[in-house]
Amino acid sequence: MIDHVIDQLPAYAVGALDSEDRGAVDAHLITCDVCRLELDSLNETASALSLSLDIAEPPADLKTRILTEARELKVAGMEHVRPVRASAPDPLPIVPQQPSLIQRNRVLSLSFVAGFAVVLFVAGLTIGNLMSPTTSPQLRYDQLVAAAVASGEHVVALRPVSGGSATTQMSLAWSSTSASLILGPSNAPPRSDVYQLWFIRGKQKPVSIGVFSPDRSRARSLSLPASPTGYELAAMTVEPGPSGTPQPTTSPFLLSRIANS
Amino acid sequence: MNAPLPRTPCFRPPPAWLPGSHTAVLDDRAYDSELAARLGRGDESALEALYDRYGGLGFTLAVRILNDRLLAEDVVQECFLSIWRSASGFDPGRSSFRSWFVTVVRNRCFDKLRGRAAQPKIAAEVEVADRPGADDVPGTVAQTFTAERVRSALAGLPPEQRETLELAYYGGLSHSEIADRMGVPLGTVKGRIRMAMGKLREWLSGLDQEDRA
Repeated sequence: MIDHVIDQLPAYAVGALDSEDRGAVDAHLITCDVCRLELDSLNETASALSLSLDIAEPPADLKTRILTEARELKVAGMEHVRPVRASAPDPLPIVPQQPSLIQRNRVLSLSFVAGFAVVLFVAGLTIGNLMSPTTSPQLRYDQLVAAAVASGEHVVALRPVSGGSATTQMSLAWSSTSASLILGPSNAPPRSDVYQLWFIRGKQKPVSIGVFSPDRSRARSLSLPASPTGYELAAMTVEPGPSGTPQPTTSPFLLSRIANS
Repeated sequence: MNAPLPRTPCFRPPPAWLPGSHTAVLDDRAYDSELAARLGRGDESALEALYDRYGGLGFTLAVRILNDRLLAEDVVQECFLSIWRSASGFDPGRSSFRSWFVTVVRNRCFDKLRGRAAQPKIAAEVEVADRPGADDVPGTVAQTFTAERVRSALAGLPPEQRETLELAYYGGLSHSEIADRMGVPLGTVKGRIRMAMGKLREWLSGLDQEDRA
């Protein structure tokens, strides 16, 4: 019998759930159409709250600024419809390694540390930067994903959670021997915050995999210290930098079911 | 730049098109969805149209949460540009564009607040527009009607339920933080939010059905 989270959804819709409850609801929503439909309805109600405000006039030049910058982005080649490639390019060599941008989370649970201690301390979280100076970040991201697919790795795109903005492109790629996080050109988190990746299994607490900051100007691949194998979900949250937090304190903005786990 | 957008025949006319009408759903989901789709194809006029329809709403909400007009401008600009870069987070099958956009703005506001470690907001002072969203007259009329009905629905809530809801929605406070702030048990806060949201949904939904009748 499915344990629905209907009672918690009104609070979820207005952002009132505490972080632990929110994580559980996020995980449940991935697989439950009943609760997701209920949440969609409640989100409409919650968003209506803002309509009760007396509408303030934005500055007259705000619209011009937005349209001008949008035009510049378009001219700069930030295409909206990306070409579909008929075939994947040749697999790209993973170029090791430069000093870690992902920092090992110091507050991992003992059980998690025991499970992955060797990998963490020997390999660490390192970066394979495959960025070519002549390739656009978006194209490079597509190439990295295609290369992972072509080499037979499992590849799962992290999807924006409902209501989130889709300014960040990330995919997990893993095989029986390695795992990586492929980053597209993505907005950096606010100021001193970092992005933190979590793997989740059942109703257990999310396991922190690491923290990092993306880069709008390039795509790259980050080696992970743990494989998604055996987990059900992957989630990305924004957490205080530089080391993240032991458990999520914000709602995931990217979330995906891990296939073939 | 301000040329009227072509409307495809499959869309019914924007509701509340005629001032004084109290008919219809007050935002046209199909029209917004079409605009969002055109946005995804890089159509600048769709971005402009969506700004005309929701720029004022986004700015108002951001000022209410942030209590800072300059920061609110940044938020609105960032939200529209992030949508311009990629509108793929919007799923018209799951929500209206308005609902999605409001959520995007709200999330971005709380990101900003976390960034500057600001305190939860007290009511912000905003300059109220004489003619909100003036470039989109039908949308403006619709917003006015919608605002009135939401205000009526909110006014029908017991004050403690309304306050609890606003602390969560505008203040970004969690259940336990609200309980501390109001000096009431956690279960009371949970119950108030559940009841308030249930009533609002029922009332707003009922009004929509009356409009359609």
